[in-house]
Amino acid sequence: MTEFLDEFKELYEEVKLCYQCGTCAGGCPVFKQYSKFNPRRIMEKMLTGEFNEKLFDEQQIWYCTMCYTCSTRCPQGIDIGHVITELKNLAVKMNNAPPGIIAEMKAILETGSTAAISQSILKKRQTLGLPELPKPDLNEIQKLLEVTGAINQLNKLQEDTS
Amino acid sequence: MKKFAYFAGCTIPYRVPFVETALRKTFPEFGIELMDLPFSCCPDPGGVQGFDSITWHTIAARNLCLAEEENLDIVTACSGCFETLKVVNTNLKSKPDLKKKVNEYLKEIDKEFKGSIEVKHFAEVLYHDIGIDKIAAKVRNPLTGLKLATHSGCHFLKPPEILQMDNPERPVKLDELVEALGAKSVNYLNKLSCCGAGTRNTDQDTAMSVAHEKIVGAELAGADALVTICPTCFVQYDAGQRLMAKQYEKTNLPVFVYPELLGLSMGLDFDEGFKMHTIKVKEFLEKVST
Repeated sequence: MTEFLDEFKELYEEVKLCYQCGTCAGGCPVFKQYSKFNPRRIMEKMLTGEFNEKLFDEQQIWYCTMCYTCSTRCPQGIDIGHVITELKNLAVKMNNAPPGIIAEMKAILETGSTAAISQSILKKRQTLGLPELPKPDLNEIQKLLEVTGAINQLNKLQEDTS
Repeated sequence: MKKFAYFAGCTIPYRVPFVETALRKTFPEFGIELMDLPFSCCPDPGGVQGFDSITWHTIAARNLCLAEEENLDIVTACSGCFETLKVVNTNLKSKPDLKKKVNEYLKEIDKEFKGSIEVKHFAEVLYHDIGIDKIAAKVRNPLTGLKLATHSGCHFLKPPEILQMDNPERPVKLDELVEALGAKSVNYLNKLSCCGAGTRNTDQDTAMSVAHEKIVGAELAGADALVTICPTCFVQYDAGQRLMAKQYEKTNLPVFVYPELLGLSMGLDFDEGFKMHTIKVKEFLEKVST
């Protein structure tokens, strides 16, 4: 955690106005169904400094659907959706990401798409009279994923989970 | 004739291609031409942005560059792609440090983000560029007597200061688009709720519970169908109803994306596409007077 202290301090600046009213949790579509994901608690943990590796381990932050209802309604104007995204980025740097996210990154690296392009779906496209779509230049995608450090990070995650 | 770069994304072409058929058949009727370019995944505003925000900006910027090279604005029928491309386009135009960093990466593939184009959602093009009156004038088979529950979805509405599509707490544009076809847009419980797809990669049961409350709300309001403007929301509600049945009582609410209903009311033939829905739409179609 200490190696990411600067990032954490920046995030703290974003949440320090939080007065724990719970509007974020009240409007959260996930909290309503799964109370272990509680955006107010995430803000509280950031304010009290009890936000540590353990919370990352629990992977609760990955329950956020990125709907931004909390950000839209926060009376203190905190962009909670953005804060949670930044926490996800930090978790990844600490080699913590759910298998679904790793699989998605791998798919983009290998095909440029998150959807598997099967023969049956290509046949469906033909039935519907749809054209073949131009393929993205995979060398370009892979080069970009290399220079941003995403491939390196993905390798580290896969080593950790294997 | 207005020409756009058509951003297909991943979910529409390779999961629910009939959404693409609906767009490709209806848009030319309003004088809009679509051009295909070798775009990659947008990339996904949830997964890839959550993985690494800079990577997300960079891959999206490559896509924006392709449209810039053709001097074309982008139109997409996927709200996830819309969120990514519009937020990244706006961020790169307004944050010089971020633009500089992303352009350093893009230089590796001989590209440069300039900030010369706009990103549009198909519903925005219909509502603003074409207009309700022109849409209503094309209707040959009005959806009279049908009650529709609209789902604008999160990534069409939020963050509102960047997307600027509609009031995030009281959206009306999709309702007006639906009523232009002669149907009635019904108010219903949980109308503003998220489809839940964003958490499917983490916990499918929770994702389906989030989606289920909206199906229940629409059914209680007596809706004949649910209408979305995003393929990911569509999949959550259409194919999702099968998954929901593992936890809840089985439901059978037909789900459409708006361009399908637009085409249907214009008298266009979508029979092949309608057969590809998970929840059967035959009964709904029989209610449409032709």
